[in-house]
Amino acid sequence: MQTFIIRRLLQILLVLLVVTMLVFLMVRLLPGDPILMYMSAQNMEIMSQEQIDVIRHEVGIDRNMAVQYVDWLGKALRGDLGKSIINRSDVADEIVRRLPISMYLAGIAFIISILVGLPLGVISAVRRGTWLDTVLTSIGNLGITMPIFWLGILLIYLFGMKLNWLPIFGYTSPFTDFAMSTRQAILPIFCLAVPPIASAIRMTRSSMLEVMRQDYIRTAWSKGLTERSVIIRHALKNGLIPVITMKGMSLAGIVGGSVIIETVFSIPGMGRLAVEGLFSQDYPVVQGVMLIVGTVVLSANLLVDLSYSWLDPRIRYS
Amino acid sequence: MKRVLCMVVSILVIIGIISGCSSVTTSTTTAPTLPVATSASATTTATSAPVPTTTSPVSTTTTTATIAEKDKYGGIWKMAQGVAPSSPIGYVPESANDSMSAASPCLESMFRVQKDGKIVPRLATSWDIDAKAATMTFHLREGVKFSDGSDFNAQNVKWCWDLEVAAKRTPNINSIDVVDNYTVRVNFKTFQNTDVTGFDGGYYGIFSKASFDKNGIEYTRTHPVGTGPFLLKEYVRDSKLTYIRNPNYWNPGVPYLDGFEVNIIKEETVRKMAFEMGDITMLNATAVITPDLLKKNYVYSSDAGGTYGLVPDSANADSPFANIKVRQAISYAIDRQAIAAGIGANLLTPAYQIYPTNSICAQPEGSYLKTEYNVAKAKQLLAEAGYAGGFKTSIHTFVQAVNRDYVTAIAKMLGDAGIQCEADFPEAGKYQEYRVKGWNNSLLAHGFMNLTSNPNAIATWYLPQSNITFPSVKRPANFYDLLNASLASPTVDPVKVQAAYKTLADDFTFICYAEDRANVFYAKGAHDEGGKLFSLSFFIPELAWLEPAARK
Repeated sequence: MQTFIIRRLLQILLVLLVVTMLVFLMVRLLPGDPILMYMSAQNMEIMSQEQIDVIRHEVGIDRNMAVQYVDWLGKALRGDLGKSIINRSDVADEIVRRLPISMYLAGIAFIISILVGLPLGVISAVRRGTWLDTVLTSIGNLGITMPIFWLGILLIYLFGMKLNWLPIFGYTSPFTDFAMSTRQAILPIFCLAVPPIASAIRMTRSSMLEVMRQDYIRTAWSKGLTERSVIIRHALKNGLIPVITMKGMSLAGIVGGSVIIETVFSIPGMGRLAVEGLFSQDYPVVQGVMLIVGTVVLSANLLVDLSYSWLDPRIRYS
Repeated sequence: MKRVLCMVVSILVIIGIISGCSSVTTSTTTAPTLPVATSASATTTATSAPVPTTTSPVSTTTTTATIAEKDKYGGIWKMAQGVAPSSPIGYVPESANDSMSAASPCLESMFRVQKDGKIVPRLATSWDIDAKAATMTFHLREGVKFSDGSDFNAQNVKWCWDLEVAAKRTPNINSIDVVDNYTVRVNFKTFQNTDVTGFDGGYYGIFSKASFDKNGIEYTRTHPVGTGPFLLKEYVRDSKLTYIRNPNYWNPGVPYLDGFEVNIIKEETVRKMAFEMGDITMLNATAVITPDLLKKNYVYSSDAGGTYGLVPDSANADSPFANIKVRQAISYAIDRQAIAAGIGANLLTPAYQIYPTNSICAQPEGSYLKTEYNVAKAKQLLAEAGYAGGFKTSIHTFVQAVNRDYVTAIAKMLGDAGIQCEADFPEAGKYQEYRVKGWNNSLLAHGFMNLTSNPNAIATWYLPQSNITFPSVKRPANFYDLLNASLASPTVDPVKVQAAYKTLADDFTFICYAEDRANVFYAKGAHDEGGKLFSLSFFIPELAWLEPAARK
C-alpha cells in the first residue's frame, strides 16, 4: 500500500509538472498581452513605448519563456506564486483567502451529489421499468443536459425575485453569520450539485443493473435474503466501484462549474479568480489557480483510488 | 455515536436554513452619527466655471423632498456594479480609473467640476492659474486631518503628487513646490487646461503619508487612508466594498448616510433582479434592461452618455478606408434611426459626431456633412473610390464595451451597400491589441466616453500625440495645431475646441452612429443629489440620502 501511495504521489507530481507547463504555455498563446491589459486599466494614453518596456521588464515577461517558467516553478515550490500583474496583490494570499470558499461550496455540493444521487440511482435500478424509474431517469437526463448558468439565473428568478425566499448574490462565511451563509449558499450549491447528482443517478442505475444480473446476486435471492440485504450488502458495494471512479472525475466538473456559478452568484472564490485572471491575462494568477486546482483534483483522485480496496477486498495495491 | 453526530449536524443545518429563511433583511453596520447640521455645507462655495458644458438630465423622480434636514441622516445605500476595481485602490500611483472610483469616497482631490461648469472646492479652498508661467498654485484647506489622525498639509500633497510624477502618469508636470504649510505650486512643462481640470480627478487624490510610512505599500494598496467623507470598512475583492461614515470629516454637514455598499455583480440580469427585489438602492442600467424597468415605474434619472462609433484604419495606405469617400460611404450606409429605435429601444439617439450633441465640442447643425441613411449614395461613393464591386472587411469589437447587436446590424447594413463585412467579437486581450498595435483593412467598433469636465480630454484620450492608442487612425492635418491652441487657453474656449474637433468631423476620422444615455434607477425614497449636480456616471456618496422609510 505504501509503495502504491508513493508511486501515485510521484505520478501526481509529474502530472502537475506537465499541467503547469501546459498552462504556462497556453496562457501565453492566447491572443493579447497582459501589459496591454494593464495599460488599459491604467492611464494608457500618456504612456510611451519606453515606459511599456519598463513595465514588461519589471513584471519579468520580457525574458526567455523557459527562464520564466523555471523561475516561476522555483518560487512556487517555496510557496511564492508571484504577484498579480494587474492589481499587484500576492497570488498565494489571494488563493488562501478564496480556496476555502470554493472548497466549502464545492465540497457540500459533492457530498450532496453522493447522498442524493446514489440512493436515487439504486431506487431507479431496483424499480426498473416502473413510473419511478422513468421519472428518475428523466431527472438524470435533464440534470446532465441543463446548462448550470441558465439554471442559476432561473433559480435566482424563482427563489429570489418571485418568492423572495433566498438572497441572490454574495457570500458570507459560516463562521461570521451561519444563517446568512446558509441562505446564500443554497442556490449556488444546488446549481453545482445538479449535474453530479444527475450523472450519479445514471451511473449508479446502470452499474446496479449490471451487478444485479450476476450469479452471486441470484444466489443471495435464492438464499431467501431480504431485498434490503441483497441490494445494500451484496449489490451496492460492488456496484459502487465505477460510480466512485465517476465521482472522482466529477469533482473536476464541480470545480469547472464553480467558475460559472461563482460568477453568476458573485461569490469571491477560486472560480471567479480564474475567470478574472484569464480575461485580464494575468499570468501569475492563472498559473497559481491552475496549480492549486490541479493539486486538489489529483489528490481527490488518489483518495478515490485508495477507496477501491475498501469497496472490493480483492483489489490489492503493490 | 455516528448516528447522534449526524442527527445533530442535520438539525443544525435545518435550523440554520429555517432561521435564515424567516427573514429577508440583511444585517447592516451603523456608524456613529454626526451632529445634525442645518445647511449642507458652509464651505463649498462655487467658484469660476472654466468648462461651460450644458446637459439635459431627464428625471421621473416624483418624490418631493419635504423631509426636514435633520431627518436626512442615516441608512445604508446599496449599489451594484459589474466590474470590480482592477488595480490597487489605496496607493494612487498604481490605481486605474475604476479603482479610483472605489477610492474616491475616502481620498479627496482638490475640487470637483459640476455639470454646469462650476467648480466646488474640496481640499483646496482656492487656486491661482498662471498660464504664462505654466503654474497652478493651490491654497489648501486648514485643520483637515486624515482618517488615521495625521495632519493634511502641503508636504503631504507634494509627496503624493511626486509619486504620480515618478510613476510617469502626469507627464506634463515638471515639479511641485511647497510654498508654505498650506500652499503648494505645480509647475507644468507647458500649460494645458486639461491639466487644470484634471485636479478634480482621482489621479490627484491625496492619501496619508504617515499611514504609508507606518504600514507600508502592501497595506496602502487595499486601505485608502484619506480625508474623505467615508472610510473603507471592508474590501472583499471581486465581491463587495463596504464604506462607513467618517465621523471626523472636515465638512460637518455631510455625509448623510451611515454608510454605503458596492456589490460586484457581473451579470446585468442578476443586478436588475437584485434591484427589483429591493436589495439594491441604485442601479446603473444599459439600454438592454432599461425599457423593462421603465415599464415598472421606478424612480428614473437619465443624462447624456457617450457615443458609439466605428474607427476605420485610415492611416494604412493600402486600406480602402484610407480613402475618405469610403469612410463617407460607410457613414451613409448605416441606418442610425433603425439602430436607435430598434435595438436601442429609442433610448439611443442617432449620432454623427464623436461628442454628444450637448457637448461644447459638437459642431453646429449645417457646419458638417450629416450623412443620413442613403444606400444609393453609399454605393455611388464606393464606385467613385474605385470599389464599385465592394470589398471585404471586418468590424472588431469587445462585447462588454459595445452591444453585439449594434455591430451585427451594421455589418448587415454595410452588406446592403455592397461591402462584405464580418462581425468579429474578440476577447478583451485581442481587442486591446488591436487598439494599441493597430489593425488592417477593418474597423473597430468602439464606445467613446463623455468626458464632461473638459472636452479637450476626449482628443488627448483617444488620439494622443504619442500615437499609443489607435495608431491605425490618420490624424487630420492641423488637428494637433488646433488642439494645442485649444489646450493652451486658461479656460476652455468653445470656439477653439470646436475648431479642433471640426477636423475630425470633416475627415470622418470616427464614424459615430449612436449616442447613449446614462440610465439610473433608484429605490423609492433614495435621493442622489450628487448625480443631479455632477454626473450620474459617478456616484457622490456624501450628497446622497435616504428617506426614513427607505432605510431598511
